[in-house]
Order: sequence, then C-alpha cells, then structure tokens
Amino acid sequence: MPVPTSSQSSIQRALVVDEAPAVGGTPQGKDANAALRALSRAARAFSLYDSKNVIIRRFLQEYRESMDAALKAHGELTFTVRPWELLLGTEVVYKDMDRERSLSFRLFRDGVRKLVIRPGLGWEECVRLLEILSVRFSGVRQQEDDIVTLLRKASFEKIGFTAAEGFTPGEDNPEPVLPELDSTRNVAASAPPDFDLPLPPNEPSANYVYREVPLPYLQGLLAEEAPATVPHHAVRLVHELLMAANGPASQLSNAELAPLVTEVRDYCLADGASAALLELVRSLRSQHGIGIEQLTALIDGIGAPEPLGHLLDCIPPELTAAPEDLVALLLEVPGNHVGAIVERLNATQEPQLQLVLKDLMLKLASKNASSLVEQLHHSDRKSATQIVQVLMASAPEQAVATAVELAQSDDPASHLEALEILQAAPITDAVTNLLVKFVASPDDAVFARAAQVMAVRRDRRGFAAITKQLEARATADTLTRESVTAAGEALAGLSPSTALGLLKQWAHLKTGLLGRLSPHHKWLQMAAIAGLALLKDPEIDTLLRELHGNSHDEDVKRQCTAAASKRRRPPTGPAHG
Amino acid sequence: MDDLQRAQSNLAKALARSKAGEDKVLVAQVRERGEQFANLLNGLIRMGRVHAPDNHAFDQPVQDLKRTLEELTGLLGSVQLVTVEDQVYLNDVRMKVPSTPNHDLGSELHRHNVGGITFQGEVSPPQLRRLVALLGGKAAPQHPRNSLISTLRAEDIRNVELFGIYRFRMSEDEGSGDDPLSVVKRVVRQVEDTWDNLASGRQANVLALRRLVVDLIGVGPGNEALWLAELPQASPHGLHAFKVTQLVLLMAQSIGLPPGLQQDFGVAALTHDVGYAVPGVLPPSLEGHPMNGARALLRQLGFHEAKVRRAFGALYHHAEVDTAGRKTPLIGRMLRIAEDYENMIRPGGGGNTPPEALARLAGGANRHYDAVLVQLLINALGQFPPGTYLGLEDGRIVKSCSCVRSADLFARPRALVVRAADGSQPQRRELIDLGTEGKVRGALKPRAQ
Repeated sequence: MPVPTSSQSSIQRALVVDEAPAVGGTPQGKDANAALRALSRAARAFSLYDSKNVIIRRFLQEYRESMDAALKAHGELTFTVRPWELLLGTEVVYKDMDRERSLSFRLFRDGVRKLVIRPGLGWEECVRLLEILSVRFSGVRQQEDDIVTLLRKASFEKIGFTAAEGFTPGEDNPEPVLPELDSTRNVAASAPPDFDLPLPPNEPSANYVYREVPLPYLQGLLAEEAPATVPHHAVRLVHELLMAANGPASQLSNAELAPLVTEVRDYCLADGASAALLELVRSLRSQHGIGIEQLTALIDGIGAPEPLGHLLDCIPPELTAAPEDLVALLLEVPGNHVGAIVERLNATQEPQLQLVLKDLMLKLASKNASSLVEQLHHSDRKSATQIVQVLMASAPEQAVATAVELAQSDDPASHLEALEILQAAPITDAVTNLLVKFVASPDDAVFARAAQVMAVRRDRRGFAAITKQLEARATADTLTRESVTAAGEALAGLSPSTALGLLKQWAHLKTGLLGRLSPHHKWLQMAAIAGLALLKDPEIDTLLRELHGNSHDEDVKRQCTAAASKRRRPPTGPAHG
Repeated sequence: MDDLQRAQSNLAKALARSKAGEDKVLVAQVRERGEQFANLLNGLIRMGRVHAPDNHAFDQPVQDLKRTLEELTGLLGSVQLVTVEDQVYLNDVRMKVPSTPNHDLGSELHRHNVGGITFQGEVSPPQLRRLVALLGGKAAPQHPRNSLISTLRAEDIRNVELFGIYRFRMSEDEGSGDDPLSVVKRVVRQVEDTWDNLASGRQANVLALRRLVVDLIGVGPGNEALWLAELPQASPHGLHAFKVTQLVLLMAQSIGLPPGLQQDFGVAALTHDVGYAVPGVLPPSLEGHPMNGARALLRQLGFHEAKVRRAFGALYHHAEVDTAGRKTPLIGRMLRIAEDYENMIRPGGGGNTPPEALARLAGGANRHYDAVLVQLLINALGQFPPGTYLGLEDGRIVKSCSCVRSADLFARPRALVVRAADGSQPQRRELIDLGTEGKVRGALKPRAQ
C-alpha cells in the first residue's frame, strides 16, 4: 500500500522551515521515512505554530496516515537510534544533522537506543508518543523528566523501546577500588540521632491475617490520584500552606508562596480547571495575613482577556450550558469578562459553544448586569446586539434604567448605545417617550437609528414623530442619504397604509424652474423612494421608473435604482401595504 | 469534535501544562556553565601538551575554570562530570560539546582509564592547574586511574574524585539490571546528596532521584536481595529514606498505581524527611521538619504534579488519616504507615520486631492509619515480614527475607539461616524456603537475636 508522499503535499509547501531530507531506498525504507518525518514534523509543530493553527491538524492527519500505512504494509518497525540517524535493519530511514530539528538526536540524547512500533498501534498511543516528543522538542520540564521516564510512564502496548538506563562500568581493564575512596565522601547534612522519635503513643496491637482487598477499595484509592485531581491537589497544597502562613505560629510567609501560587494558577489555567481556580481564589480571599494582597493580585489576573480566553477555549464541547464553576470564578475575579466572551462568541462557528457562551453571559449578567452595560461602551454593533439580547433576558429593568441614564448624556455615542438597549426593551410609555426624544436628536445618526428602532418595535407613535422630524430636517437641510433612507423605511414599516399616501405625495413634489429640486423637496422625495421600495402597490414600480427618468438629480436617480433593486429581491421582512 | 481536533486540543493542553513546569533559568544556567566548564577543561588538558605547567598562558583559563566551577557548585552542589562513549554529562544533563575523535574530553580522560570526575567543592587554582597537568600527562602503564588518584591524595587534592569508564547500560542488556545492592547504595548516596544540596540552599536533583526510583521499581521493591542488603557505612537518614521508599512502592504496586505515579510516590518517599536537613523557623525537630521539608522542596521552580506530591509527602508523613476535616492525601497516608513501621523496627527506633510493628499498625488502623493501606502492606509483607528472626522447630534460627509470594505462603517466607540447629554460625550463606521446609516455632524478640 503506498504511503502518501508528504513531499508533494500542501503542508510541505506551507512549512516555513526546512525539514529532514527524504531517505530510504527500499519500499519499507521509504514508507518508514515518510512516517518518521511526519512524526518529527508533528512533534515540532507545536513549538513552531500556534496550537490552534489549522496546519497542525494537517500534520496530525499526515502522521496518522503515514504511520498507519507503513505498519500495514510492512508490519513491525524496529528502529535503531543513532545521534543523527534512525536505521531499519541496516538501512538509514531517517537522517537529520540539525540538532534542534532532529528526531533521532532528541531520542538519542535522552538515552533511547531502540524504538519498536508494532502493528495495531492505535491513535491514542500515537498521540501519546507524539505528546512525549512534543514536550521534549519544546525543551520543557527538563528537571523532572526525560523521554525515557516519560515513555516508561506511558506504559505503551504497541510501542517498545530500549534505553540507556544509566551508566555502568565499561572498562576494558578494570582497576581495583582503592581502599581509601569510601572515606573521602563527606556527608554534610544529617538527621538528629533521635529523628522521628518519640513514636506515636502505643496503640493496642491487633492480630493480622491475609485478607484480599476488594476491588472497589483499590479503585477508590486510584481515583484519588486520577489526572483530573491534580489541579485540586495543587490548590489544596496552596491552601494548607496559606493556612500555615497566616496561622498563629507561622513557619512561612505569604511572600514565599508567590511562586507556588503563580505556578498553580498557570497550571490550572492551562488545564482549564475552573473549579480548582475557584477554590484557589476563595482560599486566597479567605486569608488576611501580611502580604496577602500580593498573592490575591496574582489571581486577579485570571480575568484578563488572554487567560480568560484560554479558559473559554477549554469549555468541553459536549456542554450546552455554562459550567457553574466558571460562572462563579468570573464573578470572583475582576476583568472585562463580557468583552472576552463576546469576542469568542463572534469568533466561533460552533452552535453549541455559542449557546454556552450566551448562557455564560446570561448567568454573569444576572449577578452583575453592570458588567454587560459597561461592555456596551466598547462594543461594535454586532457585539452590542449580543450583549443587549443577554441583558434584556437577564435584567430588563436595569437595562432600561441604563438606557435612561445614557440618554442624559450629551454624547451621541451614548445615545446609540441606549438605542441598542431600547430596541429589545418592553413596550412601555417610558420607552416610547425616550425613543421620541431620540428621534428629535440633532445628531443625524441618532435620528436614523431611533427611526429604525421604532420601526422594529412597531411603535405607532413613532410615525408622527418621524414625519415631523423629517419635514423639519428637510427644510433645515441637515439630512443624509442614510438617514432619509432609514426614516423612509421606518415610516413604511410603522404604518404601510398611511405611509403609502404620504410617500406618494412626497414622491410627486415638483421640481423648480431649472429642473432642480429644493433641498426640502429632494430629501422628502428620497425618503419617499426608500419607503415606497418596501410597500406593495401596483403603481410603485412605474412611479420609480418615471422618477428615475424625469429627475435631473443624481442622488434621486441612485435612490430610485437602489429601490428598484430592493423590490426585485425576495422580501426578507414582513410584507407591507 | 473529531479525533484529530481532540488530539490537537489535548496536545496543546499537555504542552501548556508542561510549560507551566519550566524553570528555564536554572536549566539554561546549568547547560551554559556546564558546556563552558567541559570545554575549558578539555582545552586546558590539551594546552598542557604545549606549555609547561607554570606557563602564564594557563593563568586566565584556570581562573575561568575555577569561576565556572564555583558557579556550578553554587547551583548544584557537587559537580559530577561523566563522559560516556562520545557524550559528556554534567550532573546527568547532557552537554553540547564538540565531539572530535581523539580530541574530545572523553578521549583525554579515557587514556587514564577515567570516565568521570566529581568536584565536591572548592578547588583552588593551583590544584586545578595540577589536575590539568596530570590529566594531560602520560598515563601510568599499570592501573593509570588508581595511580592518578593516589597522586591527588598525596598532594592533598581531596575535593576531586575520579571514576572509571562508563558505558550506557541498556534496558535490554543481559541481566539488565541492576544489581540490587548497587541500587540500594546509589539510592542512599543520592538521598545524602539531596540532603546536602538542600542544606546548602541548593535544589534537589529530582531527575536523578526519579531515575533511581525507576531502577528500584525495575529490580522490584520486594526483591529479597534488598531486604538482605547490609550497608554499615550508610547514613541513618539515607537508609531510612530507602526503606520507607521500599514500603511505599510495595503499597503503590498493590494498589495498581500506574508507573508514573509509582515514580512520583517513590521520589516523594525518598525526600519525605529532608526537613531535618534544612534550617527553618523551628529547629530540625519532629514538629518542625514536615513544614521545613515542604518549603525546601518547593524552592524548585516550575509546576509539576510530582512536586505537589513531594510537598504533600513532606507535610503529611506524620499526619493522621484525616487532616483538618479532609482525608489526608494518599501519599501522606502511605508515608505515615511506612514511616511508623520503619521507625518501630529500625536500630535506635522503637525496638519492635517486624511482626510487632505490623500488629501495631493493625491496631491503629482507621484511627491513625488508613485501614485499606495497612491491609495492603500486611498482604505484601506477610505474617513474618522481611527482617523477622524466626525460631524453627528443628532448632535453627532464620531471618525472613521475602515478601508474600501467594496467599498460601503468607506465613512461610523465604529466609536466611543465621544459626544452625546446633547453635553454630552457618559456614556459608544458606537461603531456605519455609514454604517447602522447616516449621516456624515463633518469631524471636530482638534481645534473643
């Protein structure tokens, strides 16, 4: 079975760095070479690219396919590891003289001398092997593990290895040990003669016999050390040390704990362990000793966009609601959480994740709506819409109160934020009054948006207000094509039957002596064209054609073209007229 | 989420977790200074063939070598330089040094049948100059390494130790193993080094400890040669740490903990008492050493779950089953049992025989000791745990030396004959299997031994 040739792939072209050359002459050698190069590429990918980069997925796929193909075609692969080469029998099937890049060098450096990969290798083991190599390629954890200790831990079924497990005397001519050698060693530190004494009080002895320990008890012990418990153990350690540091007979200071708190925080963040982080935050908040502020400052950073973004990335894909621990955590730590959530919401295409993120915002807002309102100040239209939806669902009264507050401002940007809220607000006199006030805003953008909002809300009191404003603004010549369009469409939406007559009337306004419209007539005519485009009436198409043909004003002509185009498109909103 | 996405996400997480565990600064310093040290030493040895030992050309490089050595001992304590085949290791960290046939450091040392040098502390410039001259000089025709060692001793250069040539020991080597006695010796020595390092404000070399635990797991913590090992020169704390580790590993294997956790627990057991070695708010004492130990172990920067387990081991090895309303962490409960058992039977300890110690553990189960763990230890050690002196009906006295091989043989271990039926000392080492011969009359009290 032929192995996909990586040299022809798009991945290859996308690689920024060189890679090990293709070697191997026999079919087995070539296939093994392809698999090893794919393994090496995938292992290095995490230190070259962002971990979410799509190219890593392709590397993984290539690794899986080429390893699978090589094993299926040739059976067990036993590689001899040399510093710069891997051999299959006597054939060199991997060669790379680049110390930083070489897979063989990494293996050799850590003591691996033979690597055996057997048929039936599952994807899970493939990934574990890759993880070990990736960790070592990243050059981390060097003080705790090397490839050999990591391989031993992995307990592979289909991957075997021979390793240099240490050094052993290898002299051709052994020499006798000199008698005085042992006495040269000086042990500096020692335990007191009575170390660990006195023993605990003598308990009555009991007879003992062999007794099989039932499996559930063993499983209980194993569960205490399951991988998911690591963050909780780490936080417990911090907690115990905090208690000691802030207790009556303190043997250590809070300042000493700063590195540990930082490490545990980072580990929990990397693991997406929001429950453990919550424990950590609460543990720190419960202490009041000297220097505790420096430690709490360390965890306050959890709410910053990057760490929070990572926590959001770690939300399990099978969830449909926000994890309670994460909600509780975000309520405990400062930061622009809503901003990060909205950003992720706008970025993701996963419907399930969107649900979770909206739920997260909703739960946050139910406890702290002001965070949502605050975020409105910094959001674009798309994000603001998401926020307002959540705000209205969680705290409608506070939302309206916020809009009222924003209306007091002189800043048109605040008025636009208020309008985002009011669009989704319940229909009440207070809200309508506020909208009428915004329709009268001297700011053209606010006027236009207010008209749109009134139309969306089908607020009939808006018709008169918009008409009045349109006429006044047309006379004052303070409109733009965007605002008259919004206003005309709003009129058509608010009351199609009333609008039809009024808009036809504006459409037929006469031109002046030189064939030009006065500004007043021009703006009203353009509003009329925009509104008529949305109405159902047999005369409208003809009317638009005539206006286009007779008008000497380029703006009016363009408005007619846009309206005609809109009428040809299938309707997206409710039918008018 | 498909397989590939899941793999990508899990790998990214694994790397992020690993990165949280880095102490980049220390590793970089050891590598940088270590490579500098190896290159300087090699260069000086070769210069010795061109210049006379008192030539001023040596002054600066010798000063540089001394300074680098001081920096390394400041970071690591004793500095062990080992050349194996064509590679150079400094305290188990491989160095990037040029490998030129016949001109590399290994070749220079191998001429004297020397594979490694340990620097135990400060070495003065004249001593370094002399060492370099000796290594660059002609090798003695007979026993060249011992000849060099004798010269160094004669000239009172005591902080430098020379070792023989090493090769890599492969996991598939014939009898791979490790000689159990050699494992015990190496473990005890590494524990002593760890105490020395921590006492001097340095960090523990946990990778070296982990490798030794791997070796210990390889020979098997229940291996009977380990129970028979006698190390009169070992420090009490080194031996104690080894024996506690043996017991912890026996329990860990009985539970079925995965290999990585066995390693972590083994290292935690080796370091559980380091609080006695380090200064703290309280002097080294029964009360103060758990917290002192945890503090010392946490000086190592970078997160690793094993570090948490080591800190738990130090903090909780004298704790009850529950601590502050919560169950004491597993490693703490295991260590409490192993620690008390070992203290009850060790010389200078509680003066109990192994069966008495086990009976005390059984009596304290649930109150002081985790009952399930105590039962696992009982099942592993047997009615007559290793080290128990037994009187046989035929008059012989034997010392048990094996763990339980099966439930049927719970009370019939293998044993070393220490007294013949006529009361005489056996002329040769004789091991018997009480499963097939001899009948136990009873365990003997220490005073009768």
